[in-house]
Amino acid sequence: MYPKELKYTKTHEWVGGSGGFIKVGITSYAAEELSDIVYVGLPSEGGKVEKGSSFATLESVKAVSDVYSPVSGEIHEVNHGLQEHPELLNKDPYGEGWIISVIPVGKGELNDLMNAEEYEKFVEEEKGK
Amino acid sequence: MSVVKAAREWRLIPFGAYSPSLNMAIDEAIFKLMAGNKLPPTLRLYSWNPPALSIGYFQNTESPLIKEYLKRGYPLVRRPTGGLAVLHKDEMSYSMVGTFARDGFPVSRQEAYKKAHESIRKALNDLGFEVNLYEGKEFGYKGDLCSSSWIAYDIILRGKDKIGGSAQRTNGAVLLQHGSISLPEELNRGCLREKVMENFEKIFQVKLKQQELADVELSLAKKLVKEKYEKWEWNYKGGRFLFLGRD
Repeated sequence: MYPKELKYTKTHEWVGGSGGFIKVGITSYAAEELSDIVYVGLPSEGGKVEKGSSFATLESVKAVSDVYSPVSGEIHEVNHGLQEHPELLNKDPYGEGWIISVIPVGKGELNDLMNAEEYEKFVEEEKGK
Repeated sequence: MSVVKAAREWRLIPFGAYSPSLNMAIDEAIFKLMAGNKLPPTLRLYSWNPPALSIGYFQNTESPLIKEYLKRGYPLVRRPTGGLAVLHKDEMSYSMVGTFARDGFPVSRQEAYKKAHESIRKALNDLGFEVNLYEGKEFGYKGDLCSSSWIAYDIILRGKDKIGGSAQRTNGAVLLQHGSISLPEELNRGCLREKVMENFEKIFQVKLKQQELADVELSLAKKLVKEKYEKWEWNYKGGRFLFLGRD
Protein backbone atom coordinates (compact mmCIF):
# COMPACT_ATOMS: atom_id res chain seq x y z
CA MET A 1 0.00 0.00 0.00
CA TYR A 2 2.87 2.39 0.83
CA PRO A 3 5.84 2.48 -1.59
CA LYS A 4 8.50 0.03 -0.39
CA GLU A 5 11.46 2.15 -1.49
CA LEU A 6 10.54 5.00 0.88
CA LYS A 7 10.91 5.53 4.62
CA TYR A 8 8.32 7.06 6.91
CA THR A 9 7.97 9.23 10.01
CA LYS A 10 5.43 9.10 12.83
CA THR A 11 4.26 12.53 11.72
CA HIS A 12 3.35 11.04 8.31
CA GLU A 13 6.11 12.33 6.06
CA TRP A 14 7.99 10.12 3.59
CA VAL A 15 11.62 10.35 2.48
CA GLY A 16 13.33 8.73 -0.42
CA GLY A 17 15.98 9.18 -3.04
CA SER A 18 19.63 8.64 -3.69
CA GLY A 19 22.72 10.34 -5.02
CA GLY A 20 23.10 12.70 -2.07
CA PHE A 21 19.62 14.21 -2.36
CA ILE A 22 16.62 13.16 -0.37
CA LYS A 23 13.08 14.00 -1.38
CA VAL A 24 10.46 14.69 1.28
CA GLY A 25 6.66 14.68 1.04
CA ILE A 26 3.56 13.71 2.98
CA THR A 27 2.05 10.22 2.89
CA SER A 28 -1.21 9.28 1.20
CA TYR A 29 -2.67 8.67 4.67
CA ALA A 30 -1.80 12.25 5.74
CA ALA A 31 -3.22 13.63 2.50
CA GLU A 32 -6.47 11.74 3.00
CA GLU A 33 -6.76 12.85 6.59
CA LEU A 34 -6.23 16.47 5.61
CA SER A 35 -8.65 16.20 2.67
CA ASP A 36 -8.52 18.94 0.03
CA ILE A 37 -5.36 20.99 0.45
CA VAL A 38 -5.88 24.56 -0.74
CA TYR A 39 -2.68 26.40 0.21
CA VAL A 40 0.94 25.44 0.68
CA GLY A 41 3.55 27.53 2.49
CA LEU A 42 7.00 26.59 1.22
CA PRO A 43 10.52 27.37 2.44
CA SER A 44 13.29 28.86 0.30
CA GLU A 45 15.96 26.97 -1.58
CA GLY A 46 19.30 27.15 0.19
CA GLY A 47 17.63 27.39 3.60
CA LYS A 48 18.31 24.94 6.39
CA VAL A 49 15.97 22.31 7.78
CA GLU A 50 16.30 20.57 11.10
CA LYS A 51 15.19 17.06 11.85
CA GLY A 52 11.83 17.18 13.60
CA SER A 53 11.14 20.85 12.95
CA SER A 54 8.50 22.33 10.68
CA PHE A 55 9.59 23.36 7.19
CA ALA A 56 6.25 23.82 5.39
CA THR A 57 2.62 24.52 6.21
CA LEU A 58 -0.52 23.23 4.52
CA GLU A 59 -4.08 24.50 4.70
CA SER A 60 -7.10 22.27 4.23
CA VAL A 61 -10.70 22.91 5.27
CA LYS A 62 -9.68 25.84 7.47
CA ALA A 63 -6.93 23.97 9.28
CA VAL A 64 -3.26 24.80 9.05
CA SER A 65 -0.90 21.86 9.64
CA ASP A 66 2.86 21.69 9.76
CA VAL A 67 5.11 19.38 7.79
CA TYR A 68 8.19 18.21 9.72
CA SER A 69 11.57 17.42 8.30
CA PRO A 70 12.77 13.85 8.80
CA VAL A 71 16.39 14.97 8.31
CA SER A 72 18.67 17.92 8.96
CA GLY A 73 20.30 19.54 6.01
CA GLU A 74 20.17 22.14 3.29
CA ILE A 75 17.17 22.62 1.04
CA HIS A 76 18.37 21.87 -2.47
CA GLU A 77 15.10 22.24 -4.35
CA VAL A 78 11.52 23.25 -3.61
CA ASN A 79 8.49 22.03 -5.56
CA HIS A 80 7.14 25.48 -6.43
CA GLY A 81 4.47 23.87 -8.61
CA LEU A 82 2.54 23.09 -5.43
CA GLN A 83 1.78 26.75 -4.92
CA GLU A 84 -0.31 26.79 -8.06
CA HIS A 85 -1.45 23.18 -7.78
CA PRO A 86 -1.74 22.22 -4.10
CA GLU A 87 -4.10 19.43 -5.16
CA LEU A 88 -1.03 17.45 -6.31
CA LEU A 89 -0.44 16.64 -2.63
CA ASN A 90 -3.77 14.80 -2.61
CA LYS A 91 -3.59 13.34 -6.11
CA ASP A 92 0.01 12.20 -6.31
CA PRO A 93 1.68 12.45 -2.88
CA TYR A 94 4.67 10.22 -3.76
CA GLY A 95 5.22 11.63 -7.24
CA GLU A 96 4.41 15.13 -8.39
CA GLY A 97 3.35 16.05 -4.86
CA TRP A 98 6.89 15.92 -3.39
CA ILE A 99 7.64 19.04 -1.35
CA ILE A 100 11.39 19.57 -1.02
CA SER A 101 14.67 17.87 -1.75
CA VAL A 102 17.37 18.06 0.91
CA ILE A 103 21.12 17.54 1.04
CA PRO A 104 21.40 15.86 4.45
CA VAL A 105 24.21 16.92 6.78
CA GLY A 106 24.65 13.70 8.71
CA LYS A 107 24.58 10.04 7.87
CA GLY A 108 22.34 7.56 9.56
CA GLU A 109 19.48 9.95 10.27
CA LEU A 110 17.17 7.78 8.23
CA ASN A 111 17.90 4.72 10.34
CA ASP A 112 15.27 5.47 12.94
CA LEU A 113 12.50 5.89 10.36
CA MET A 114 9.92 3.22 9.57
CA ASN A 115 9.82 1.05 6.47
CA ALA A 116 6.57 0.65 4.50
CA GLU A 117 5.42 -2.36 6.50
CA GLU A 118 6.12 -0.74 9.88
CA TYR A 119 4.41 2.46 8.77
CA GLU A 120 1.32 0.56 7.66
CA LYS A 121 1.08 -1.00 11.13
CA PHE A 122 1.61 2.39 12.75
CA VAL A 123 -1.23 3.89 10.71
CA GLU A 124 -3.55 1.04 11.69
CA GLU A 125 -2.78 1.75 15.35
CA GLU A 126 -3.42 5.46 14.84
CA LYS A 127 -6.77 4.74 13.23
CA GLY A 128 -7.75 2.53 16.14
CA LYS A 129 -7.26 5.29 18.71
CA MET B 1 -24.07 -0.89 42.26
CA SER B 2 -23.54 1.67 39.57
CA VAL B 3 -20.32 3.55 39.24
CA VAL B 4 -20.61 7.14 38.14
CA LYS B 5 -17.52 8.23 36.28
CA ALA B 6 -16.27 11.61 37.47
CA ALA B 7 -16.31 14.23 34.71
CA ARG B 8 -12.90 15.16 33.41
CA GLU B 9 -11.74 18.64 34.23
CA TRP B 10 -10.89 21.20 31.59
CA ARG B 11 -9.40 24.57 32.29
CA LEU B 12 -11.49 27.68 31.65
CA ILE B 13 -9.58 30.92 31.18
CA PRO B 14 -11.52 33.88 32.65
CA PHE B 15 -13.28 36.08 30.09
CA GLY B 16 -11.48 39.22 28.92
CA ALA B 17 -11.57 41.76 26.10
CA TYR B 18 -8.07 42.16 24.70
CA SER B 19 -6.21 43.72 21.80
CA PRO B 20 -6.11 41.76 18.51
CA SER B 21 -2.40 40.94 18.91
CA LEU B 22 -2.76 39.77 22.51
CA ASN B 23 -5.78 37.61 21.70
CA MET B 24 -3.86 35.74 19.00
CA ALA B 25 -0.72 35.55 21.13
CA ILE B 26 -2.59 34.04 24.09
CA ASP B 27 -4.19 31.38 21.87
CA GLU B 28 -0.84 30.50 20.33
CA ALA B 29 0.92 30.44 23.72
CA ILE B 30 -1.61 27.97 25.15
CA PHE B 31 -1.25 25.88 21.96
CA LYS B 32 2.56 25.90 21.95
CA LEU B 33 2.87 25.01 25.62
CA MET B 34 0.12 22.40 25.75
CA ALA B 35 2.23 19.36 24.86
CA GLY B 36 5.28 19.99 27.02
CA ASN B 37 3.52 21.20 30.14
CA LYS B 38 0.84 18.57 30.60
CA LEU B 39 -1.86 21.20 30.76
CA PRO B 40 -5.48 20.03 30.62
CA PRO B 41 -7.60 20.89 27.57
CA THR B 42 -8.34 24.59 27.78
CA LEU B 43 -11.35 26.66 26.80
CA ARG B 44 -11.17 30.42 26.54
CA LEU B 45 -14.03 32.84 25.83
CA TYR B 46 -13.02 36.35 24.88
CA SER B 47 -13.76 39.48 22.93
CA TRP B 48 -11.78 42.11 21.06
CA ASN B 49 -10.97 45.63 22.15
CA PRO B 50 -10.77 47.48 19.84
CA PRO B 51 -12.94 45.68 17.26
CA ALA B 52 -10.64 44.24 14.59
CA LEU B 53 -10.36 42.18 11.43
CA SER B 54 -8.59 38.83 11.76
CA ILE B 55 -7.40 37.06 8.63
CA GLY B 56 -6.38 33.47 7.90
CA TYR B 57 -2.79 32.24 7.95
CA PHE B 58 -2.56 32.15 4.15
CA GLN B 59 -4.80 35.10 3.27
CA ASN B 60 -3.57 37.83 0.98
CA THR B 61 -3.90 41.37 2.38
CA GLU B 62 -3.98 42.80 -1.12
CA SER B 63 -7.61 41.78 -1.54
CA PRO B 64 -9.92 44.76 -2.19
CA LEU B 65 -12.29 43.65 0.55
CA ILE B 66 -9.57 43.50 3.19
CA LYS B 67 -8.28 46.89 2.03
CA GLU B 68 -11.79 48.27 2.43
CA TYR B 69 -11.90 47.20 6.09
CA LEU B 70 -8.48 48.73 6.66
CA LYS B 71 -9.69 51.98 5.11
CA ARG B 72 -12.54 51.98 7.61
CA GLY B 73 -9.93 51.97 10.36
CA TYR B 74 -10.13 48.41 11.69
CA PRO B 75 -6.81 47.06 12.92
CA LEU B 76 -5.74 43.80 11.29
CA VAL B 77 -4.16 40.69 12.75
CA ARG B 78 -3.18 37.47 10.99
CA ARG B 79 -4.26 34.34 12.83
CA PRO B 80 -2.05 31.27 13.33
CA THR B 81 -4.99 29.24 11.94
CA GLY B 82 -6.52 28.81 8.49
CA GLY B 83 -9.76 30.15 7.08
CA LEU B 84 -10.96 33.55 5.97
CA ALA B 85 -11.39 37.09 7.32
CA VAL B 86 -13.61 37.72 10.35
CA LEU B 87 -14.73 41.09 11.68
CA HIS B 88 -14.62 40.85 15.45
CA LYS B 89 -17.31 43.35 16.32
CA ASP B 90 -20.53 42.59 18.20
CA GLU B 91 -19.37 39.03 18.56
CA MET B 92 -17.91 36.57 21.02
CA SER B 93 -14.81 34.53 20.34
CA TYR B 94 -13.69 31.24 21.82
CA SER B 95 -10.63 29.08 21.63
CA MET B 96 -10.07 25.50 22.65
CA VAL B 97 -6.75 23.71 22.85
CA GLY B 98 -6.03 20.11 23.70
CA THR B 99 -4.41 16.87 22.68
CA PHE B 100 -6.54 14.56 20.51
CA ALA B 101 -8.23 11.76 22.45
CA ARG B 102 -6.84 12.89 25.81
CA ASP B 103 -8.92 14.03 28.82
CA GLY B 104 -12.16 14.00 26.87
CA PHE B 105 -10.74 16.05 24.00
CA PRO B 106 -12.12 15.04 20.56
CA VAL B 107 -10.25 12.42 18.56
CA SER B 108 -10.13 14.40 15.31
CA ARG B 109 -10.28 17.88 13.83
CA GLN B 110 -13.71 17.12 12.41
CA GLU B 111 -15.09 15.99 15.76
CA ALA B 112 -13.68 19.10 17.46
CA TYR B 113 -15.33 21.36 14.87
CA LYS B 114 -18.67 19.59 15.15
CA LYS B 115 -18.81 19.36 18.96
CA ALA B 116 -17.75 22.95 19.61
CA HIS B 117 -20.34 24.21 17.14
CA GLU B 118 -22.95 21.87 18.56
CA SER B 119 -22.33 23.43 22.01
CA ILE B 120 -22.78 26.92 20.59
CA ARG B 121 -25.86 25.95 18.59
CA LYS B 122 -27.45 24.47 21.69
CA ALA B 123 -26.57 27.61 23.69
CA LEU B 124 -28.27 29.82 21.11
CA ASN B 125 -31.29 27.50 20.93
CA ASP B 126 -31.62 27.66 24.72
CA LEU B 127 -31.72 31.45 24.41
CA GLY B 128 -34.56 31.20 21.91
CA PHE B 129 -32.73 31.66 18.62
CA GLU B 130 -33.50 29.61 15.55
CA VAL B 131 -30.07 28.28 14.79
CA ASN B 132 -28.84 25.09 13.14
CA LEU B 133 -25.62 23.57 11.83
CA TYR B 134 -24.98 23.59 8.10
CA GLU B 135 -25.16 20.09 6.68
CA GLY B 136 -23.56 20.65 3.28
CA LYS B 137 -20.48 18.66 2.45
CA GLU B 138 -18.76 20.76 -0.19
CA PHE B 139 -15.70 22.80 0.63
CA GLY B 140 -14.29 25.76 -1.19
CA TYR B 141 -13.52 29.28 -0.19
CA LYS B 142 -15.97 31.81 -1.58
CA GLY B 143 -14.66 35.34 -1.41
CA ASP B 144 -12.53 36.64 1.44
CA LEU B 145 -14.99 36.61 4.33
CA CYS B 146 -15.55 33.67 6.61
CA SER B 147 -19.26 34.49 6.76
CA SER B 148 -19.67 33.99 3.01
CA SER B 149 -18.03 30.54 2.91
CA TRP B 150 -20.10 27.77 4.44
CA ILE B 151 -18.68 24.40 5.39
CA ALA B 152 -20.18 21.45 7.26
CA TYR B 153 -21.28 22.28 10.83
CA ASP B 154 -21.05 26.06 10.45
CA ILE B 155 -23.59 27.89 12.59
CA ILE B 156 -26.53 29.27 10.62
CA LEU B 157 -29.20 31.68 11.89
CA ARG B 158 -32.75 31.27 10.54
CA GLY B 159 -31.44 29.16 7.66
CA LYS B 160 -29.82 32.09 5.90
CA ASP B 161 -27.01 33.83 7.77
CA LYS B 162 -23.78 32.21 8.86
CA ILE B 163 -23.11 33.59 12.33
CA GLY B 164 -20.45 31.20 13.56
CA GLY B 165 -17.37 29.52 12.14
CA SER B 166 -14.04 28.27 13.39
CA ALA B 167 -10.47 27.74 12.20
CA GLN B 168 -7.80 25.29 13.28
CA ARG B 169 -4.09 24.69 13.65
CA THR B 170 -2.48 21.38 14.46
CA ASN B 171 0.94 20.57 15.80
CA GLY B 172 1.26 16.80 15.89
CA ALA B 173 -1.55 15.65 18.17
CA VAL B 174 -2.26 19.11 19.63
CA LEU B 175 -5.12 21.14 18.21
CA LEU B 176 -5.89 24.84 18.47
CA GLN B 177 -9.38 25.70 17.34
CA HIS B 178 -10.81 29.16 17.62
CA GLY B 179 -13.92 30.74 16.28
CA SER B 180 -16.29 33.65 16.37
CA ILE B 181 -20.03 33.96 16.94
CA SER B 182 -21.79 37.11 15.71
CA LEU B 183 -24.29 38.14 18.31
CA PRO B 184 -27.83 38.18 16.98
CA GLU B 185 -29.62 41.44 17.82
CA GLU B 186 -30.87 41.76 21.38
CA LEU B 187 -28.53 39.06 22.65
CA ASN B 188 -26.41 39.90 25.62
CA ARG B 189 -22.85 38.57 25.48
CA GLY B 190 -22.93 37.60 29.17
CA CYS B 191 -25.98 35.38 28.68
CA LEU B 192 -24.41 33.66 25.70
CA ARG B 193 -21.20 33.08 27.64
CA GLU B 194 -23.00 31.33 30.48
CA LYS B 195 -24.98 29.14 28.09
CA VAL B 196 -21.94 28.27 25.97
CA MET B 197 -20.01 27.12 29.06
CA GLU B 198 -22.96 25.06 30.24
CA ASN B 199 -23.34 23.36 26.87
CA PHE B 200 -19.62 22.75 26.40
CA GLU B 201 -19.72 20.84 29.69
CA LYS B 202 -22.70 18.79 28.53
CA ILE B 203 -21.54 18.01 25.02
CA PHE B 204 -17.90 17.27 25.81
CA GLN B 205 -18.91 15.65 29.13
CA VAL B 206 -16.36 17.61 31.09
CA LYS B 207 -16.26 19.98 34.02
CA LEU B 208 -14.86 23.46 33.39
CA LYS B 209 -12.67 24.83 36.15
CA GLN B 210 -11.80 28.51 36.02
CA GLN B 211 -8.09 29.13 36.18
CA GLU B 212 -5.80 32.00 35.17
CA LEU B 213 -3.13 31.52 32.50
CA ALA B 214 0.11 30.06 33.82
CA ASP B 215 3.06 32.47 34.13
CA VAL B 216 4.90 30.63 31.39
CA GLU B 217 1.92 31.06 29.03
CA LEU B 218 1.60 34.73 29.83
CA SER B 219 5.26 35.45 29.24
CA LEU B 220 5.24 33.54 25.93
CA ALA B 221 2.11 35.48 24.91
CA LYS B 222 3.84 38.79 25.63
CA LYS B 223 6.84 37.69 23.58
CA LEU B 224 4.59 36.64 20.67
CA VAL B 225 2.82 40.02 20.74
CA LYS B 226 6.12 41.79 20.33
CA GLU B 227 7.85 39.45 17.94
CA LYS B 228 4.96 38.28 15.79
CA TYR B 229 1.44 39.65 16.13
CA GLU B 230 2.41 43.32 16.24
CA LYS B 231 4.83 42.92 13.35
CA TRP B 232 3.83 44.30 9.99
CA GLU B 233 5.75 41.46 8.33
CA TRP B 234 3.63 38.78 10.00
CA ASN B 235 0.30 40.54 9.62
CA TYR B 236 0.76 41.64 6.01
CA LYS B 237 3.20 39.08 4.59
CA GLY B 238 2.41 36.01 6.67
CA GLY B 239 4.06 32.82 5.54
CA ARG B 240 6.94 34.56 3.83
CA PHE B 241 7.86 36.21 7.13
CA LEU B 242 7.52 32.86 8.85
CA PHE B 243 10.40 31.33 6.99
CA LEU B 244 12.63 34.34 7.43
CA GLY B 245 12.11 34.59 11.16
CA ARG B 246 10.85 31.06 11.95
CA ASP B 247 7.49 30.45 13.53
